[in-house]
Amino acid sequence: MEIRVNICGRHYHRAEKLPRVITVAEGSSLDQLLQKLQDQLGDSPLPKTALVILSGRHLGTLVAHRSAELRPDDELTILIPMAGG
Amino acid sequence: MEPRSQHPGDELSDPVSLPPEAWQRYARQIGPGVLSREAQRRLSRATVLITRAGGMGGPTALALAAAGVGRIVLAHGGLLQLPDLNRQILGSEAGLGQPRAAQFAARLRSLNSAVDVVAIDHEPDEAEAHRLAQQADLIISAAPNFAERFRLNFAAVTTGKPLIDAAQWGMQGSLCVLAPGKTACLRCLYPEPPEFEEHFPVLGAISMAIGALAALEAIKILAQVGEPSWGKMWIVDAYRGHTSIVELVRSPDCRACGKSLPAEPTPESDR
Ligand SMILES: [Zn+2]
Repeated sequence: MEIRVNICGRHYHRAEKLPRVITVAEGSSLDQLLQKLQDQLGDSPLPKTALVILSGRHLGTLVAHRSAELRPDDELTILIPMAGG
Repeated sequence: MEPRSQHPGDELSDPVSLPPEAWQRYARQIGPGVLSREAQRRLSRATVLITRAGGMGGPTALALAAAGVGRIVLAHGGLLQLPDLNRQILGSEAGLGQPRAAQFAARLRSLNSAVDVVAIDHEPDEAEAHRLAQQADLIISAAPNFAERFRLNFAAVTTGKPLIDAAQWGMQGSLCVLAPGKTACLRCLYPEPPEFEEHFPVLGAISMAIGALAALEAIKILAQVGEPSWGKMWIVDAYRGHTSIVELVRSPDCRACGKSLPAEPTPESDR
């Protein structure tokens, strides 16, 4: 299954070299996808406060989010909190 | 000439009218799919609190003044610096080194003298934020740090006023349209204060885009037209040309709007 991944918000450029699509096995969980994503990011992990959004559903933060089983065509968005000014 | 009402009975439902020149000024925004005359009157009676009025809040204030919001209370401390001018469009080269709030207010008044603009030359503390929120119909939060955002969020929760939270970084931005007690609040999203940096890269074009979207949502809410994006977050990834709309989920354990109300003010440790 191919899951499109968007990393948005603060320091989004650090994820620029990541593939836009991550392949996972059928029936994989959101946490398995997140682990795969973190593995690819290596020594620059995503902040714990980043929002986890699966196909438009807000599931919580990286450190505390609802679990979900991935479906084909799902899209994962990680939003690293931004402020402004 | 005053345009004919799109909504029969508009005149009867509101004894307060606007002067003829106002109908001329707003003629292009009164019509099907935009504002009715009654909606325009609602805008003219509304008060919006904007803090701060820089990259995003400035364009928001400009769009609200142009649209005819009755009163704009803008809070922004400090003196205008040269690096502000890539995005703080209420400022000007002539105003460098001068207090931001006063010149931002003067710019709004020069656009629309019918709008009552109140300038506050500092960022409100908890008590002042609460008082200003009580006097406002809607709050726009466009602050550069989370302590200030949480303070405004808490003021919105305790006064029951709608909150539009605008954020930006680089060529991306986000906008949350929140109805305290009904939708998620900002603290539902961020139980722990996120990291941020005071000086971050940002392009004025994204600030203006997010600021304009904030104004649009505010106008829909205040004028009671269209469908406000209640409980949603727009993420605008202009860097890659991608947008998302997220349905935000309220947290029953939220420290601001959760079951254990009245909630505690933002502790010092969160700042
Ligand atoms: Zn909340």
